[in-house]
Amino acid sequence: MAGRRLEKRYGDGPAAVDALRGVTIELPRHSFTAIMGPSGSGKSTLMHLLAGLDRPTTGEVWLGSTKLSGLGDSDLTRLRRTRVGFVFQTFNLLPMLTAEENVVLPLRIAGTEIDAGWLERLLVAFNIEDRRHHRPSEMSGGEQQRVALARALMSRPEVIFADEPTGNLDSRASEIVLTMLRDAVDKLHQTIAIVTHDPLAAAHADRIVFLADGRIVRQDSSLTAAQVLDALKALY
Amino acid sequence: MLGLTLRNIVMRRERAALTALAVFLGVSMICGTFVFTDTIRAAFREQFTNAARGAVVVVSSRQDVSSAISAPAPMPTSLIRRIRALPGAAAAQGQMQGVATIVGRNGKPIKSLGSQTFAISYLPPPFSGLTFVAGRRPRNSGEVAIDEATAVREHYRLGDLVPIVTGQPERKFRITGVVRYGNASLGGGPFVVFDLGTARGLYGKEGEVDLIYVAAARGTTAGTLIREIRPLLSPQLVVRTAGAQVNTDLQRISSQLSLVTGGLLAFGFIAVLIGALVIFNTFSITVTQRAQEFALLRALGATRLQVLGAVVAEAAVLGLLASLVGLAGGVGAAVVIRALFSATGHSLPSAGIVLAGRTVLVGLAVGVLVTVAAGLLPAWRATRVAPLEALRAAGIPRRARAGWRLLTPIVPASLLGIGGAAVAFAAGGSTTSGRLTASAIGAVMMVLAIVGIVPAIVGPLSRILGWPFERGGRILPRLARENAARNPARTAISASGLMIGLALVLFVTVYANGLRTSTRQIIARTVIGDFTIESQDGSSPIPAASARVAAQTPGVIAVSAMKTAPARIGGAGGVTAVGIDPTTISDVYRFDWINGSAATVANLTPGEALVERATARAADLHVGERTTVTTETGARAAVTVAGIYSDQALLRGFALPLTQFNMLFHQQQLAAVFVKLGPGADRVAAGSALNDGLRQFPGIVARSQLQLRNEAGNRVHSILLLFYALLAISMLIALLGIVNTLTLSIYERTRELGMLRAVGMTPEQVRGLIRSESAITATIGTIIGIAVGLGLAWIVTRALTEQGIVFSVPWLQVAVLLVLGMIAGVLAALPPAARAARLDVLAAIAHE
Repeated sequence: MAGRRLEKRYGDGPAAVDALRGVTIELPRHSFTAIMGPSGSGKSTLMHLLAGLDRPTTGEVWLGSTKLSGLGDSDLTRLRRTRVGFVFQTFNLLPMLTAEENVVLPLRIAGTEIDAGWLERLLVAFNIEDRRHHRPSEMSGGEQQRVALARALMSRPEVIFADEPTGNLDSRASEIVLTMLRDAVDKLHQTIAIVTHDPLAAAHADRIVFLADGRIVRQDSSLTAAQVLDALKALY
Repeated sequence: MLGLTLRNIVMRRERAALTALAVFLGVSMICGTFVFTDTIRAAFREQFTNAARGAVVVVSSRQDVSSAISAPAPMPTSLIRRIRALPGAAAAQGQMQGVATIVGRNGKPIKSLGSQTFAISYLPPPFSGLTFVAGRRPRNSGEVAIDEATAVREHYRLGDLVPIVTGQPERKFRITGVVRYGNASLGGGPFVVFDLGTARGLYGKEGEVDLIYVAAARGTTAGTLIREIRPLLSPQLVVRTAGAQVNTDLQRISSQLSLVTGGLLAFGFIAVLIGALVIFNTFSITVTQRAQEFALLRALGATRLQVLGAVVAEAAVLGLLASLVGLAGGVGAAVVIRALFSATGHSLPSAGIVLAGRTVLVGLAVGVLVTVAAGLLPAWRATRVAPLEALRAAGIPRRARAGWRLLTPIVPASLLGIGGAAVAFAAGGSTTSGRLTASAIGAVMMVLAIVGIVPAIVGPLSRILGWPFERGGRILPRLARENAARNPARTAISASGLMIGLALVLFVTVYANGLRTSTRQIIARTVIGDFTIESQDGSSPIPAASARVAAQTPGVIAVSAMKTAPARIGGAGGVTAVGIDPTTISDVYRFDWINGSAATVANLTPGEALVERATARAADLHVGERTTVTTETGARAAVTVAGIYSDQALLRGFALPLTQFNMLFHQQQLAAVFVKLGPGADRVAAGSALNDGLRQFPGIVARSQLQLRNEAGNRVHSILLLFYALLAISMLIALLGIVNTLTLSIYERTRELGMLRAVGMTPEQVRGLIRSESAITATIGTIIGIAVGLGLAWIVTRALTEQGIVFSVPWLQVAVLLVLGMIAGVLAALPPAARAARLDVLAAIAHE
């Protein structure tokens, strides 16, 4: 997964805002990348471009040998179904479906066969197998986010994007979710990128990319939470 | 706060417009009805006022103005001379007034809504506001003047020969004049003017007149003149001021329009009721969505009352705007209604549109009050939002209370339903009308109850509906069903509009079917003649001369004529007196006896009456009892009840021998003529001979028994079509409600839709999801509507069993309605589905 010389401009004329000003980034296979930066640094925009949710003004996004910037809307939709997974800050589970139904939802929408063994493995891995018949309203925030993680992994995507996955969780639930993200990379061989404000979250990543004013200002591998905090302080 | 309210409406223009549309349509229908009837009345008022111009008082017969078969008493010409001799009278002139039919260029009789075509005699000065637009007054029996509107519409010009049916067969008259009343624009109904002598001859009233116009001598007031004239009059006659006479004439127009007016108004109110449900739902949803906004206002120090006021004011402003536009729409609707009636061949007065103060007042009041009333409960809920919720994330589901909230309407609803059913069934009222009233009350209560219960069955019903689509674990139908059932109360109200509309459609269909079947059965049982001569519309009187045509037709062995007039018997008013010929009627008509036999009718003598069962029940009459028959002119006769029969189709009311009928009533025309052929006569040949003979009476036909039965059915059918057209408007409002609810629900679920698109749902799948949800809602409304409609029809037909009205389910129509309901749901979903599919994924995910 890679983005090359990505620029994103919103609006035009004097009121135009440059959210990204030439970002080149690579997300290596089986890695855990955290994208950090102050509000307005362009980190969310970057993720949306990489995930195919939005199109860059200039530059290219590649997923394996597929160039996302050349795809039409229906191809992008199909790509999101099969090759990309999402985790949102607010979990975004369907309230009327059970945990298990939520996990298999993207496959159901795509009409693809469900791999029962993989489903079991995910439910066990995220420790929600005994919650499988519960609805989101009967689960804690941490449990809901673990269901969302399982949902993202269900279609065995090539890359998973998580936008502030711990933003709505308390510290204990955050720690569990982050550990599981780490496990997904280490044990299930997934590729994961998260956008976060949380130094503790970033500390779980293999690599941390710092953005400011639409540019990558720093890249590190495996920092501790305290080091992340220091790096951020320098940015503000 | 008002500024905030207004800004809210402006900011949410689209939603406000959709909500207002429901109010607009209902108010338009109500105002349109008023404008339509007011305009017609104004045109007639002008005509009548001009007709009485120059007169201070008018002498006329007492008359039942509410009856279409009314036959006023004529007065002797000598009365005019005696009035002229009075000191207070400056002048007096008599006028003939009869019913005529003008045959149009296409050879068909000209029909007029609200009034028959009148034939009047020319009234010399100083009376009458007749203005000759062209030509001169008719002077002999071959001449006629016709009204300008008819002349223009039919392209009749001076010197043309126009065919007119009067008391005599069709005759051609040369047009010597084109007239209008006063200086008015084209208004009022069609009319023809003969000279006095000709009119007398045509209507067989030698030495008589129908009206006397009197001008007062200088210095004599109307009151004085009336006091002078009154002693000269027989009890059947009455003298009124010219103004009072105009009002009396207008009453006749109003009562003939009342069916149309009542029907239109009723549907207007149904439309408003459905509109109220739409408004209620819209406000409920928006109040929920704006919880944070209200919390913020409260946190900033707004009182509960202020929050309540803000929402109520929003409803009031919306209602006012919609009603104002509705008022304009009403004027447009009146024009459309008039065009519709004109298109169906009814001549209508075309004076300027009348927008009365009452129309404006009622329109605005209904629109505003209904909107405010529908917004009250949601407004109250807005006041329950705690200030603290401003700090919390929106949309916290209060799951624990959902069950309770669902239960709240069910308890009173069930009680209401049980009460309604009890009223409907336990009402063992002896009269049909009593049971009908009880049934109507019961029915309304049950409909309200059902609206309350629907939320509880939305879930289970949608599960059943979705089952065939969800097999094999298909997710889209499942999601659509879950969405439809997610907020059962909302879906229930959304479906209720459709439910009420469809229930009415089905009820009317079943009821009309029952009526048609019973009428056909009655005709099949009682009419044993081969042909029945009647007017094309089956109810207008026909010239007496038409009976002679029948008697002269080869093959005919028996002819029995029948007359009708409005009357009262014992305690039962507003019934029909039927004059029958006891010597011939048994050849052509078989009485369905409750108490009596063929001998009863054969031996019927003056002083005896046969009473139809429903009238006997209403007047509490039994065989052998003596009672009094009162005519519309006030004449009375004592009669003995000789027999009781049943017939709710042809011989309603009571029957008298024609000899006595003719002494009591002044009816010159016949209601119908029954014809019997001899054995071995060629029916087809006789039928065409009969109709050939009747050609001189345009609008009069001879119908075989089968045609008579079909015709009765067709008449019900055409009324049914009118009902459907009006109900369609209510259904349109119901559909708007579904569109509105769906649009708002989608707005609520923006983030969810964004997620679904993010995880790979295509726009087409999103559209399908919304369409299915709407189809489920619509189908729920349709199914319950069908059930309620059938239930209502069953209750009402049950109350009418003695009139032979049977309950039968029109399965074909049920199936058609079901399909239509589903299609309607899919159609209603088109705009919201398109909007949902267009959602920008990113914006949707970020949506709060």
